[in-house]
Amino acid sequence: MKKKLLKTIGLMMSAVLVLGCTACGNSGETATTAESGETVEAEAGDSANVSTEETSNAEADTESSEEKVTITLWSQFSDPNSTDGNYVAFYNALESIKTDMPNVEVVHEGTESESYKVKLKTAMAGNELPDVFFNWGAGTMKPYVDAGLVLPLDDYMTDDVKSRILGGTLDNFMFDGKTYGYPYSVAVASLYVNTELFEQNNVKVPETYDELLAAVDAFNAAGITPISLGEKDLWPGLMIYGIHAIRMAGAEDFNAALNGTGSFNTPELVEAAKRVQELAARGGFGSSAMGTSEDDAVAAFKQGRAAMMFMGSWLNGDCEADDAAVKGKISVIKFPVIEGGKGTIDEFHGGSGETFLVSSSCEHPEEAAAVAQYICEKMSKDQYLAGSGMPAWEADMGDTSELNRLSQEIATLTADATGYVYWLDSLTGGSKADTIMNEIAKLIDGSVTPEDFCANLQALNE
Amino acid sequence: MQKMLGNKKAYWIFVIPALVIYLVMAFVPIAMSGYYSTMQWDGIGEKIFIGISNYLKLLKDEAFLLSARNSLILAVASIVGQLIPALFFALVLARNVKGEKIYRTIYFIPVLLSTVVIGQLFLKIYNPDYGALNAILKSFGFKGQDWLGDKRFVLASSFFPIVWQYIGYHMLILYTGIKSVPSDIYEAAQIDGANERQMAFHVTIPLIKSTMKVSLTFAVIGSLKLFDLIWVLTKGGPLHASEVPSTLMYTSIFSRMEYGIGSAMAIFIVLECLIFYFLIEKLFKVENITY
Repeated sequence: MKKKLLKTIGLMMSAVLVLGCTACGNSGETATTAESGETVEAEAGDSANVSTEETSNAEADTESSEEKVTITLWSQFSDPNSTDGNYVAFYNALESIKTDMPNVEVVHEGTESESYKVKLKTAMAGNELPDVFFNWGAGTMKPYVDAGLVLPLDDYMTDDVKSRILGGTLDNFMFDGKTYGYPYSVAVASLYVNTELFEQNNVKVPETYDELLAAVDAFNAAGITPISLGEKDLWPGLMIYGIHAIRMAGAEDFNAALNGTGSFNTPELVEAAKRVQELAARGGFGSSAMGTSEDDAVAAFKQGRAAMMFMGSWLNGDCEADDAAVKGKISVIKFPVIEGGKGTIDEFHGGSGETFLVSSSCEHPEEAAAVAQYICEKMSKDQYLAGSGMPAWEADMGDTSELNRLSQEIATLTADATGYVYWLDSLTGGSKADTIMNEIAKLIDGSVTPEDFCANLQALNE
Repeated sequence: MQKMLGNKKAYWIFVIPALVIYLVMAFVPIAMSGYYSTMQWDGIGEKIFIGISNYLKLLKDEAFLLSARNSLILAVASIVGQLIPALFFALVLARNVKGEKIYRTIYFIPVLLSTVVIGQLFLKIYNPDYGALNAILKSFGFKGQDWLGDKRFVLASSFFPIVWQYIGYHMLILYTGIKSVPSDIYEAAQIDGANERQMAFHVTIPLIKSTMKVSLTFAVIGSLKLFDLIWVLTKGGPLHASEVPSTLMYTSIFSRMEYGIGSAMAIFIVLECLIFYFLIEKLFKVENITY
């Protein structure tokens, strides 16, 4: 009897293992709370999922209910009460679309970022995509475009609309000459420096790469982490390597290497890898970057335990938050030029790469495209005012005196931008992104030579 | 009653609902994984049949081989680090020591805690800046270490909480086994002049062999398919140093979008667990003892 029981248990345990990786979707909506003319439905079993359904007021409903088109919308903006600039902007747009586009009823469902990716993949496999959905551009988006799951928006993009979109912001949404998404923000990485720590330790805020190295040595001697880096999460390392490669090879050549038309086996890119490795060996990221998560790295910088951080503009909110010890003491600067490199000081890491896509199986493509356009254009302005990223659409910003100080500084820095390289993980996508992240971790750890590193990255192009 | 037990059809009627659920929930996913493992597939686009190429790729994949090695190390660590202390505690507790119930509860507490809670707890203990472990080391004049970020320490640091967590679980299984041994056997041993140590080694342990086999199976299989605590502590990093097959399977499927290779890993884990299960069955053939 025991033997049989054991056998069954053994089999069941191995079955559970496989089940664990297949069960990921979830459905079923319950819990309804009614507000005036608005229904909020929360998905059962997942508190991170919030679905908001907007219905117009009862009197308006009776007349136009037949003409009203329902558009389903999925996003990673799961929390209506978040103070993150992108969230605030999204929920503003969701609210104002009710009055601005009375002919459509938008049913929104938000899922927290990591679960959102899994949920979207599951929906794609089952052909159950919503009409409009949030997604990242470039390499992340390419498999969906190749599989014919997203609708090209060129037919709906009039010259008038195009003229309002800022230059270069559509690049990551274009495949084979067709445009699949509207931009809503331009996020840029810059060097955040804690001016107070620089003053206290008599260190000059770096304008050249040598001064950056001098600052690293000075802060290490003072027992302060020079550059806060959360390499445990792997993607922060992409930024450090990305900006070194941009400074050494220039944005154009680096982009070519990344999309396969150029090569990683160039003296400049080998030198860039060497610089990253030397910076790490010098203690540039402190002694424990490999085991530090991004959250911990941000916390260290916020509390004034690290002098610098190279990060995207989403860090603005954290630096200026009321609970940040460094509030008002942070300044943003351009990452210094590396002597001998082909890149200039006005080339930046970042760009526009988040958007809302329209499903190709959507029943009302015209309305869905209009919703996607409306949300992106509205968010572009609001997320800028909320201190998140640069705008991607031309707009009258009105009074900007209340705007996040760092956002304004970044706007000044990028005014003369000559080139951008988008985030390496979103740009390459899938296994390529994962391999690059792991190679950079090896580089920082010192377990691969700069030459082999470049050869391994070039192998992805072949 | 007699009539019903004799009716073979009645058996089937009662068995079928459970059997159907079991087949659908257990065997269909395994079969599907087996099917996917022969494909080159990104989860969205077209599937391309490539035979056993995914398996051949795994055999050459350094990260995967490292993860398989790590899971075997963990299995050995679990046997030594869980079963031996568990057996010791069980033997002591079952001898009617004072406060038996309290000790039993204390040892079982780690099992009740959620893995994520334990993970967060140990993340704080291991933290190189403000962690308790480094603080203690420093107060004795030793140098602090980056326990989860250093390739040399990460395996030991992440396996320690895993092993520690389940000691109480195996203790409870073995304790129950010992308690089911009738007391007259001990009385007989006492009359024969056996001391506590002799009773433990010559009476208790031989009699609870089948319970020990259950513990052994759980410890080994649990180690081979471990995912949660490693994911919370290190996500398999740094540089795959603490990777186990299931964490690698997760990144393959959900970050690298390589469903084929991920499924091949899943099948590998299933086979590995089955092989070890049958191995344990073969090596520890014990007769069932009825008192």
